[in-house]
Amino acid sequence: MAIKIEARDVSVYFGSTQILHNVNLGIEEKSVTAIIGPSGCGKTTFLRTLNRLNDLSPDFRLEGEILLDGENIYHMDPIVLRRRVGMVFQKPNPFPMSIFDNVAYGLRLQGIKDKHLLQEKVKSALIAAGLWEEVQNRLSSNAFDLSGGQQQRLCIARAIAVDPEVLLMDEPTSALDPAATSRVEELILELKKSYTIVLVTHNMYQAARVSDFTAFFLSGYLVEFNKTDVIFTNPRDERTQRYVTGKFG
Amino acid sequence: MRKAFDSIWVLLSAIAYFSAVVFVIWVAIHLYALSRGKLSLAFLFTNPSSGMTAGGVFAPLFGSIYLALWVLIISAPIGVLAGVYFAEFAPDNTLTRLLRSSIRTLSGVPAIVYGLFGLAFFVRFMNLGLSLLASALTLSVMNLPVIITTTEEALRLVPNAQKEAAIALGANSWEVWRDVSFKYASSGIVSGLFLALSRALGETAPILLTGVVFYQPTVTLDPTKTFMALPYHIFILSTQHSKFTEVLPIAAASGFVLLLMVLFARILAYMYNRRIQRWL
Repeated sequence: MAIKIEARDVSVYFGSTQILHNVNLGIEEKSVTAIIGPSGCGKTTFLRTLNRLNDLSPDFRLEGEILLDGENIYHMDPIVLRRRVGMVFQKPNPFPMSIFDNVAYGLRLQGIKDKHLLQEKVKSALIAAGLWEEVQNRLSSNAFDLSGGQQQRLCIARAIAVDPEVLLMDEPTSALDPAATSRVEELILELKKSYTIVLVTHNMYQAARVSDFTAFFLSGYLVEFNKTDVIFTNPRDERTQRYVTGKFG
Repeated sequence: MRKAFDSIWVLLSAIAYFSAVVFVIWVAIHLYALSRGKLSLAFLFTNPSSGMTAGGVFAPLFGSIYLALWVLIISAPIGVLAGVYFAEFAPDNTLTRLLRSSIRTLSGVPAIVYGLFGLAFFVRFMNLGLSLLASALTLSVMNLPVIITTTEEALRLVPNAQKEAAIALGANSWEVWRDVSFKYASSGIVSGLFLALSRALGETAPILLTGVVFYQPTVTLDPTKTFMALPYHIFILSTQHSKFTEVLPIAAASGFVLLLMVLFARILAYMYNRRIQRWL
């Protein structure tokens, strides 16, 4: 397996506050890497450095480097980067448009206008997101009419429609009920065949269920990074042990 | 006791609400009654005549609408873009904070002060003379703070999650604005524009010193000429005319027309909001 994303000595500051301290991490291609840790440990901040979404904060500063296929992403055009590294957010955030237009949005940004091509790509993204069956007869209705779980799968379809290489997921099930959660988890297992997935979650069981690798963050430090079964059965660090057994956090 | 207080609170706000509505309706009915049958379609399309004791309001009506159009053309792009800059791109430093509070202060400056400014700056210094253009520019300057502030505030209410969704899909700042921010903020922005438009239709002081005339029953599209306007027409008829009782119905009918126009502008804004909100 090849390393898709590599963080080298990454430190992140917002103003004078340091959020991440010298993080070193290699994310394997076509696998699910879970990032776990208590609230405020920097896991979301780390995720958002991978598609440069933190750049939107004027006082954001990053030291070290993050490589995508060996290329420093902070030397790339962020718009090109974000087409290669898609993202799914904590709360479903479909646009106030039709279901079809939501999925087609990223494709249209890339200048695709051909109707048949758009229809084809929207359909295959919806199939891949496990939503096609439910929405195929109402593609032109408002995305806000879907349930929360359907909206989140729509957001996944929207992200994969542009054919990214990496999919970042920021607690994608935290706003969903258990049934919708398990559907999204099944989907993640399906999607890792085609995409490299980085999943931030505060649900340890979710990390155990769907991920191949797990990184445990605490107070802005990467405490431990290993195969998921090692993290959950035989962690090296005592703090990881205490977190995964529910003693704190 | 708490329950009684709660009922009084509801009652008070209901009374305040209905008295506002009743007041507007009362003004409309009163104007209509005073106009004594002067109102008709012909009233809208004939010019004042016989020393303004007969005829309609065509020239003042046309002047007001044409003036409002120029005000919109001048102030909407500048005001909206400035609001966009303040909401989306301006750094948060002493200079922008100073600018922002200056803009908010400007929206409290009395209209006659803008009139004096327009006279000194546009009419004299820029040598535009007494003209519709000078008046439109003066009203635009007066309206800019309103448009900038409403635009900025509407944009600040755009959900961040929506902007991030577009950015994460590779949208650039223009595309985020076009597809997300504007969609969410447009009803607020349009409300601000129509508020500005209503003021342009209704204000007298800023145009008084910069281009409006009391009698010029020929309409022209040339903005460098003087013009008639409804609010000033009403002012002249009801305070400066020697045959006051004779022209009172005309003044009242003109007032009613002005009221209808402002109402019409509000309805347009409302319909736009309805159309937008269906999707939100």
